[in-house]
Amino acid sequence: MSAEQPAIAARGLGKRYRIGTYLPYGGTLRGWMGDLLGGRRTAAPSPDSVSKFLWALKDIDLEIPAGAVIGIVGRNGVGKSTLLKILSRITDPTEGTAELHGKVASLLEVGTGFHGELTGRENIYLNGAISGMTRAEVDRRFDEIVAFSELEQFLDTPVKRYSSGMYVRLGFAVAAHLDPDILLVDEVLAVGDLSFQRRCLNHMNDVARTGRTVLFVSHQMTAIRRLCTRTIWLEAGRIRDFGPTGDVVARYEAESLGSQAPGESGSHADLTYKARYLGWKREGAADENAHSVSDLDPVALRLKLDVREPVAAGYGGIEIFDPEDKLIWSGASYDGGRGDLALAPGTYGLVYTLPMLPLKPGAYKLHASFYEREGRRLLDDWWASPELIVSLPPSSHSQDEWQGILNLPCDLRVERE
Amino acid sequence: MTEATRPLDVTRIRARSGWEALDLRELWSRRELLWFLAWRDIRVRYKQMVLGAGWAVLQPFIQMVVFTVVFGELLQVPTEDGIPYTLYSFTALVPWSLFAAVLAGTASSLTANAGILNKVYFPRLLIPLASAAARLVDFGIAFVILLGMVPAFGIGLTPNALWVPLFLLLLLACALGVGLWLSAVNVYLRDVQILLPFLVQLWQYASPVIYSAREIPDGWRILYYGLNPMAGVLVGFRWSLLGTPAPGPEIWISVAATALVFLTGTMMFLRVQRTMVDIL
Repeated sequence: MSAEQPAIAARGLGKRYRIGTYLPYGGTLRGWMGDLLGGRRTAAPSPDSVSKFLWALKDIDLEIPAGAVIGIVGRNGVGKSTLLKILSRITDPTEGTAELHGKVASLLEVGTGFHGELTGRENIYLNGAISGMTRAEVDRRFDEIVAFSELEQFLDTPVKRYSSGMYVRLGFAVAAHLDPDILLVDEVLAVGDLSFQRRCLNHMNDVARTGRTVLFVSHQMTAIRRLCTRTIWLEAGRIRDFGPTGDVVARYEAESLGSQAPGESGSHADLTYKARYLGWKREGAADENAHSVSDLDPVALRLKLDVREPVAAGYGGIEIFDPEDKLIWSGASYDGGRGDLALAPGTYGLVYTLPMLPLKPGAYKLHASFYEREGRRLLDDWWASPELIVSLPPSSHSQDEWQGILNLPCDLRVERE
Repeated sequence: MTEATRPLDVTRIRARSGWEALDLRELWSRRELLWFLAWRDIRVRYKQMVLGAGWAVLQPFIQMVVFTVVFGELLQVPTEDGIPYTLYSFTALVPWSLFAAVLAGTASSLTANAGILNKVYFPRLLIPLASAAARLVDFGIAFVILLGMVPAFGIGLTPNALWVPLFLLLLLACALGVGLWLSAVNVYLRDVQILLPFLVQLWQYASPVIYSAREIPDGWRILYYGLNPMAGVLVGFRWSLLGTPAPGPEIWISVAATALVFLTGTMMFLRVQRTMVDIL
């Protein structure tokens, strides 16, 4: 592959969507037919109709060298998936051009085209064909696909009887054996059980090392850090930052929890919400370890909650999940008979203080929700970013299988009785 | 990378406007997918049915029985050359069933496959083509029964039967053409889905299925064949299999109308497919 030719080159890509229910041209059949038959509409859009469009993506210029593994990060709705959809030709851009050199495969969903009535074996062929494999290619790699999925005994069972985990395994197994030059991956690794997720990630790692060009969208910063050399940070449909993964992810994480940054308010100003979590930090800790725990001192988790409209009676919940996704602690604002919260508009810090967090080293997920008492209406449901890093030195048994959940040093006295 | 000599495919993406030609090379390169999609349709359709492919025969057969009783016996609808009404109607019902199924399948093909269309790219035309191909299997079964029925009713098959594939082609082009038009419109206006059964029903009455095209007054023929290409198809089927009078020069009006519908339908489809997932 010639080094000077980029695998992906995009110039001025933009995508405009109509928001709200789609009633073409105000619902008039005549206007719609006129557009279809007569090419572009000649009449200038009225100011009123302009406001009903949303640029999901705007002015995207990209040059990605062959063999690069690029991460794409950003909050929900900033155009990450739209970018992948345009590059994989699922939909046309509204403006701009892109050129891709090499065979392109996209993995926007696991098991696209699976049919419940068909067996695992049949679906492997169908899904392979839909994703761009020839029958001969599927034949050749069939055994590998089956081995990867670990579903040998269920190959002749209709997929509708599969558990969701099995379904995902089969879908990813096929996807893992596509042989593209350019692979576009949307947030698909976040499904399935943890050991399988890890295997997928390892597989992606292998793919990345074989010189393939990969674009990888994810909300899991650990995955991005592990796989991608460079990362694109998308915000409100534009590229906010593009550089070495470490730097970009650090800046992205810092901002998504920091005080309402200008960019953030810009991209969300038009969204109406009653209450939303903006970020978290460990109270009383220095900046560099505002999100980590390295001792057995009390830990005060300060969640920043932005309240837009008055909440007469509300309550919040918080959970910590370990790296295996097991819930290890949960708390709520009303625990211990504290009652509901009445919050006027403004920004609040909800501080949950724990006497200590004696956990094994690792990245723990923090999840928080906020409800309105009336109707138990969910106002926000939030996976904290960055994750909580525990770096306590391990005090437990050195052998893996004897490591428990708690990481607590203990004393020993020996007395003769 | 793999073989360094392999030339890389180049994908160009841009905002397209206006009409464009069909990329036949791309379509051909994904022909395997056509078979897989058709095979999926067939598998899924018959997998949970006791009668399975038996329905392919039963559907036109039941209609034939009803028609024979109602139109042949009660209303005494005349046939041509003294051919029994049962055979006369079945000869038209077999191709008509195919037409109706392909038309309906094509018209709803985009909306029915929205999930796939939203997640992966392949030439979109493969979806309606595959659903049509799947229907051909049903037709094949019913057609074999029809071929058996003709001599059973004492009519000798002639070399004219070799013309059937041409009429079949005309039928498919017409069903796909109209179906592609409707599928494109259906993306924007789902009303099409509800109107479709009525359309098929009306179209059947407007076609020489129950009656003979002979009944059409001379002055109306050009309009009849021009507006309804299925008239030429059905007259053609009866001529090649039953030896009834051959289609007149009006058949060329049907051919021209079909070509027009097929061409515009395909263009319309190609145009809508570019951004239809934004709406689907």
